[in-house]
Amino acid sequence: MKKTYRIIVQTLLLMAFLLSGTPSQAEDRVQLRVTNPFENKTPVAVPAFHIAAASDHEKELATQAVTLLQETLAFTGYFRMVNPEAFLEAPSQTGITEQDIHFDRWRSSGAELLVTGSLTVSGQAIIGDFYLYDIFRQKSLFGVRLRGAGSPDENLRPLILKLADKIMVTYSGKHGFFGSRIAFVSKGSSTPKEIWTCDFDGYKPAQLTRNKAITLTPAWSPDGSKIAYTSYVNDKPDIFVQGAWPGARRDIVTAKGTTNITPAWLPDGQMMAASLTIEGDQAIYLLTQKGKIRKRLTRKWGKWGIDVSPVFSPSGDRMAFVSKRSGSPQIYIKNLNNGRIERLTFDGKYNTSPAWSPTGDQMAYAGFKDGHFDIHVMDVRGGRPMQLTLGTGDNETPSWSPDGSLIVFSSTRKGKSSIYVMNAYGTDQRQLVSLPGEQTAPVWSSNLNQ
Amino acid sequence: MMQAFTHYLTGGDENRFLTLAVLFSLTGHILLFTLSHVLTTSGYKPHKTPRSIDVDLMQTELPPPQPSKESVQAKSSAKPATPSTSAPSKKATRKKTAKKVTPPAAKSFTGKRPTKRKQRVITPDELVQNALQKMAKETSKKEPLSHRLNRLKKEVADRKAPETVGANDGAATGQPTAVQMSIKERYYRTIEVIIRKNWAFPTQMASSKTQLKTQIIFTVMPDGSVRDVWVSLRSGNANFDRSALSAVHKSTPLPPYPAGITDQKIPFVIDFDVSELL
Repeated sequence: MKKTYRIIVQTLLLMAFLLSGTPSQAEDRVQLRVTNPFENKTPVAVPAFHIAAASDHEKELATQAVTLLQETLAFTGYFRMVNPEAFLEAPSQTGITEQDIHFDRWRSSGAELLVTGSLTVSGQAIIGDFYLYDIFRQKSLFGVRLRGAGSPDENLRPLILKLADKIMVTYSGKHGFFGSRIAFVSKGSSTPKEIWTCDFDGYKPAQLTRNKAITLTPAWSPDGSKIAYTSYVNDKPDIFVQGAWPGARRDIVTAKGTTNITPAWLPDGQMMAASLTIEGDQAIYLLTQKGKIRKRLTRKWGKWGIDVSPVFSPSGDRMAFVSKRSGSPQIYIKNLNNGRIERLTFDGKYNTSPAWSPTGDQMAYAGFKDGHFDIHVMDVRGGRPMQLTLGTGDNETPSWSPDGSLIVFSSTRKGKSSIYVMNAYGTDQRQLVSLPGEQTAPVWSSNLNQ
Repeated sequence: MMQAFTHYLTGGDENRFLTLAVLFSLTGHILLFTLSHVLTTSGYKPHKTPRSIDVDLMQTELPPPQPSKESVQAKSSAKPATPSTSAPSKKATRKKTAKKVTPPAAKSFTGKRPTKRKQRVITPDELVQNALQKMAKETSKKEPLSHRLNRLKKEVADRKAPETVGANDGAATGQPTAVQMSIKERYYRTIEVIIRKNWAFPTQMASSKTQLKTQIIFTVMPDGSVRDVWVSLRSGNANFDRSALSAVHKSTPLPPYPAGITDQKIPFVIDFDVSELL
């Protein structure tokens, strides 16, 4: 019977031990709250790439590649490039793969992400191996081999942009806009306004139209293959369309009215809308690409009824446009399903160039106040607009990047009008192109070849 | 009394049944306790980056030991010759760089290579040049590393000095006094500030529709080292979770407990959220 007694004592002791020894989660944790990050960008380290053979050409390419990647990532507004002077390790010498990376050495650089790469040029091909690391979780996020066939000099940029997109997808879960282009109107000192295009970052600006006549209001087709515009080729404003590459053939869409202006594409890429005067007033019509009128979209509104600048929501169920029906130009939204029209802007006496955000919930526009045009953004359901530019001359014609994170616009902040870009909250405003003459009316295409 | 208890348990037949019942109940309870204990502890480490964070305090604050001359040339950029450019003055440089605005990426129309843009990139030649210059400076000047060490030590000493005064009265009794509470409170605030300063996330990535909130759990040891860091509540945005986790990791090691805190460890839970967007 002593035995039973001992067992009971032991079990009691064991129970007491278990109760006192429960792990720490039973304790109260100190609760803290951190609201809003101190820094608004993710710090990234992009050290020099490794090169297989150390020819001068390869060295030059590798330097270019690193610079381009740094600039492209910084351009998104999401990343800050960490100063290379803070790097304690040179992967180009010590190795770019996970087993060669000493994460503890990278911690002190201040970077959270690390990109390493190596470039190999063999004849007419360029091969790049790249890795993205999470420094604090000490793991590789991806490793990828990218190839570019053809001239290494020409293939480096597409290769690095592909890498940048891979980084964006890993980082944010969404594609970047590195395949997108920007069209704009440029006027030389002696030449009339013509349409130009450049890459999303202002790279390689090139003249698209050679109409030798005033050419305005470019509009990308949803797939980015064509651009519609207004041109005075026949001494009055008519609407044309042409392929989005230099030397593409120009086709007329419509010359029916006395003025045919501000073309826009529907999201399906089949139909277009434009502002025409064929019934005495300036109204918006639905057209085929061949200029056949399908429907009048805005009704007659007396002699003041000027309706221009149609733009469609990403889903195509609504159309925003500018109308003078209330006396001054204001932005209206028409629901294409039930035909109801509602006025969107009430702030200020002059609000034009609506641009529907790719996310569908925001409208950017240029509003005139205190003697200047400034870019505003507001909820498409109405509410208070947010002014993004202030005290920097006239800022007009906003257009969203395909992912909705950036806005391109024209500004006269340095005297003559030029193209600028900022993030969708108005920060990081910077000039995109520097060309002779004046540049206006930038429009951002969708993200191509991805 | 014990004898009475024994007698009661081992007593007459009428008590047998009761004894068995008590034994049965006890074993059942023990089983339950052990099981729950085992289960909770094994389910307690979903994170993948365990103890690597327990690095030396000096690691993030100071550069690695003096490299040889060859390696100085190889990676001169790493060499902290002047305090303003090197890693140690981490907070200072971080503040500076955070404010830096991306230089205007203006393009010339001649379609020149993007190297023209303002982003500073060091060429290998420059690296070697820099290294040589830095080495020259070092030989002429006093070793800045030891300087900095001394300064750091002094700072730590200064910081500790006032707190030790009021700390002893509470520690002796074992009951937390008001002074101790305020010491703790201040320590918590310090940790909060450090972690916030190390938190980097582009708020424009958070769409205005969704509220982002993530929760990180970790334990701070007396020497300021941090253990068992894991995300206990995910936001649904992997990048947001990653940024919060990085903020905690970046902040390690935290300052050691100030005198007056006698806990063996302090478990924390931190909510990270983004508010007042737009």
